[in-house]
Amino acid sequence: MSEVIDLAELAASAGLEQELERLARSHGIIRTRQLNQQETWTVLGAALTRELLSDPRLSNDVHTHAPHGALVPGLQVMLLEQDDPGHARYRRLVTAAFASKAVRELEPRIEEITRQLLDKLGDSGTADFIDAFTYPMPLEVICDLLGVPGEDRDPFRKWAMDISAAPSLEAMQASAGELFAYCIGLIGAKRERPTEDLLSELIAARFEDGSALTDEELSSFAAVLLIAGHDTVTNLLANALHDLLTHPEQLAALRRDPSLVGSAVEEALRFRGSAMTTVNRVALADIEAGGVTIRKGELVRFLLNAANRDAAVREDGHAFDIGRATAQHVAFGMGPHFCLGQRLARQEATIALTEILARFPSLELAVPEGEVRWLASDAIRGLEELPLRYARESA
Amino acid sequence: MGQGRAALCRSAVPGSYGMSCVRELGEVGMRITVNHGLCDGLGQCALVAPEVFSLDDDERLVVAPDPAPELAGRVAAAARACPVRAIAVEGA
Repeated sequence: MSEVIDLAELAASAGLEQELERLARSHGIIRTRQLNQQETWTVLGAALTRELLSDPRLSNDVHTHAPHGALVPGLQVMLLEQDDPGHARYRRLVTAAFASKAVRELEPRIEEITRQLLDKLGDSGTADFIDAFTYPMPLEVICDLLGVPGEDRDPFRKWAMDISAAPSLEAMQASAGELFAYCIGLIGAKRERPTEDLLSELIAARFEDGSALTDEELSSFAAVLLIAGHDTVTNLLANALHDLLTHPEQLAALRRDPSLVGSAVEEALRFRGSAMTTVNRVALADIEAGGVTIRKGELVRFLLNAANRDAAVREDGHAFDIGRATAQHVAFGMGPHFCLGQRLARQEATIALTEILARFPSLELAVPEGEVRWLASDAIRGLEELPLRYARESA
Repeated sequence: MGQGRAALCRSAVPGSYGMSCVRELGEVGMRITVNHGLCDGLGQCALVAPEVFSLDDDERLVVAPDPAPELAGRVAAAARACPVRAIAVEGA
């Protein structure tokens, strides 16, 4: 196999997942080209994904072992680009903030934000639901949690889009630089005047040996929580709405029985999760996998959306079926880097879907199905916009 | 600590680490320690070694008593899969 796939190019179509699954039938692992023109191994098959995501021979610490594989050169991203035991040491500092209890306590606030945003839509009309809802909702939640002042939130959408849906390497690096600079300033302000939020808690946090996080570590933490904490949910929710609206029988089933919302969220995650590709790993040794040899020093990433459609796991993987009673997907990854915010993401998606469907008995795509535009991104699966026609009374 | 196949649970490590739970693996002499103060109930260990690790309804980690010695490799992999390193394995 010598073909090198450009994922971002493929992603511009709705058929990305089918195409990947077809590729996966012959190759559990393929070569792809990244934004910075680096070639990497990309794992497609579900079994190989499960095996390699916990393989200690693959390191997330690309800054040490393969700097060309870094998300942003010179800026080590907290948690994502770290290995254990250091990774676990940092992760423990934020575990409680994303634990079941903390996320349950956020429920009333998430419902409030959701209702306020839906109120702004009025009784009927046409709107881009990404702009009007799926972007602002999770952003408000994570900014509240971290303690980001409301007036600072305007540039986040551009930064998030540039970083995760990267239109170009230059835009990505420029926005990452601006985001880190902003976070350094925010940490400085909170040091002087602590507030009741996660960032102030992190500033005050101490490791077992009494040491504290440095400003650089704190701003890296802030940056990763801010971006990963909203952009993924924005796109997950938009994908979920799109997939429900283009599968009317599934939407009808959910409207008939709103208690299916939990399994609808799981199916949305499996069918078209938003965190499509993981960050790079680097091989610390030669690894035989899926009929190829990954050489020491080579980059490896995981295409979770391909693994979630693997025909070896379920023959009807391309069917969108909210009645599947299973959370057996890898949309949140697996192993040591299993998504920190998965409970919050699930809760936000559950509340949002419930409230949107209850509010608007009439809801449909405002453009023909084939005309929605998909992000040409090799990292995030999502839509450019989601124009919906909505009304509080059924048509 | 006790020898042999007995599985025991004890509260240990006073202070911020909360309660630890110790299981001994019979013949191989492997000891599994779960720090419940750190465990976040994510279940990543249970995906790797479901015969040994499971979550109860409250997302609390339960370690099976007396796991088969041939599971030693999987138990070690399960410990590595934990995002917060709440599982320690000695003698694997």
